[in-house]
Amino acid sequence: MSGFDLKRQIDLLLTNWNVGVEALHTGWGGNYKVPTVAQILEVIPDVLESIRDHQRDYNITMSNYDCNKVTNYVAWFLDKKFPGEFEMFPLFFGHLHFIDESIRSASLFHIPNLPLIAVNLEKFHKNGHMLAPYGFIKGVDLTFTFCCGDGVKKG
Amino acid sequence: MKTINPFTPEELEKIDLLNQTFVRNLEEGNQGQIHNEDSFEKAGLFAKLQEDPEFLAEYKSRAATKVGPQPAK
Repeated sequence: MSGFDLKRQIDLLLTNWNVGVEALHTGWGGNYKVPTVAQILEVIPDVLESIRDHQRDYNITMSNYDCNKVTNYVAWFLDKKFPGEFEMFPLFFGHLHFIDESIRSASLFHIPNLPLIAVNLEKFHKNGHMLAPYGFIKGVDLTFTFCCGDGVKKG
Repeated sequence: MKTINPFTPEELEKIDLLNQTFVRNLEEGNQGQIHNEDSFEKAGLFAKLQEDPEFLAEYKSRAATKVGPQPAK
């Protein structure tokens, strides 16, 4: 199944989440839970439906899974399915670290203050937004004051 | 391709079914402008993380250096 691999996406998400948990545990102490594969699989149908809806609503041709969308939607639906059981900012931290190290030519490289952005992404979800405004991260607008414009899907 | 995180055969079977459904839905709905955010895969970072334990350890170590002080609550 060339070009599509859900297993790889879940593997990546779990890897990022574990990396975030380990880093934050080292830096700040505390223990942050990581969901099991079974728990993630409970929300994957909703995640995939949301990606399909996004494709339809914005009339775009998805040519692959999008790890930004997978990460955001998994965090969103896990929080709905298991309220209060997981803190999401370690996932966002790990994901941002992955982005930070992936595209060295992009302006995202060396994102300043990853933990604060990760914490704010968690708040962003709590405020009812399904998709985080990664476009604004480039400008490092940590307040997310301007996040309700076009392209940001509300939950 | 190795998997960093373990999956049971039952989980792999479920993932494969979900993947097939997603791909089918995607192919049926593909009519608009191209949207490919697969650049992370292209960068090869995840493949390297999967295949090189030393690199994975370095990668984790670099993540820890980015944590910084905990913000006041």
